Amino acid sequence: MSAIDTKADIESMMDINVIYFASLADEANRQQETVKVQQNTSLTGLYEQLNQKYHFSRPQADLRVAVNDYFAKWTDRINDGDSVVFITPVAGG
Amino acid sequence: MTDNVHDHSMTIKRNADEAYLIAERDGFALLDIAIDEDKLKSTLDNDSCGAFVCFEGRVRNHNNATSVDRLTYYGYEDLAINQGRAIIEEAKKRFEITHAIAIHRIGALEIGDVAVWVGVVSAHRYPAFDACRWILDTIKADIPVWKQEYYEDDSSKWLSNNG
Repeated sequence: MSAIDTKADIESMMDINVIYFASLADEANRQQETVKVQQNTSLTGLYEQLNQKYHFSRPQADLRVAVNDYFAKWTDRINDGDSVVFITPVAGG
Repeated sequence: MTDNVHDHSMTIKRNADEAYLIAERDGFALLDIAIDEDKLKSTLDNDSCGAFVCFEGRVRNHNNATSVDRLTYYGYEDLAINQGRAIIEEAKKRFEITHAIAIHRIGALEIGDVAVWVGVVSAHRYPAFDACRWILDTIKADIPVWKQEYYEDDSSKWLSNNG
């Protein structure tokens, strides 16, 4: 019974490739990682989950988000295998 | 920092020739070496254009009252290229211009180095001036490039264009 549950749990997870830049890379102390999250996890939920781990100095309200190399909306769905980048305020020019 | 968490954002994945080709075709690219302004300028040569306007953003030696020694730019290249393409497409819709190219440099830069270059050609002068300014402002607002300034005492700070 529990073995079946575990298998179902694994199948209901998705792998998200998170890439870090700028101050978030400093705070997470890494360039990227693959994060296992529940199916239907939102981008907001993903940031919250990572924020609990790394205690980022920027609240989500300060950030934009990109999925698969394009800017996305926080309400956009993510799928297994997607790349996600949280974008701190930019400083080009 | 020995195990640098920023390595992936200090250099581009492509070589410089590919970056220039992308800039020529799509309008925007990142580069991790000195920007060849003559090359970009010649790319914009067009006999139907009576106006060429360009902007060079250079590294200055101060930020407000603080003296700056050097700085490093970091970029998210694939998003920068995608967003840069959208910016140049939008500029062509908003202004009567023939073509525009912009490049942002990443990596360690010295005082006086060109960090960003924008060039616009058009039949007449005003659209070129206006588009050049708009493209630069939009790059500063939307292109995923980050800047870390280093000061005389070796301290450093992440900067932000908008808060």
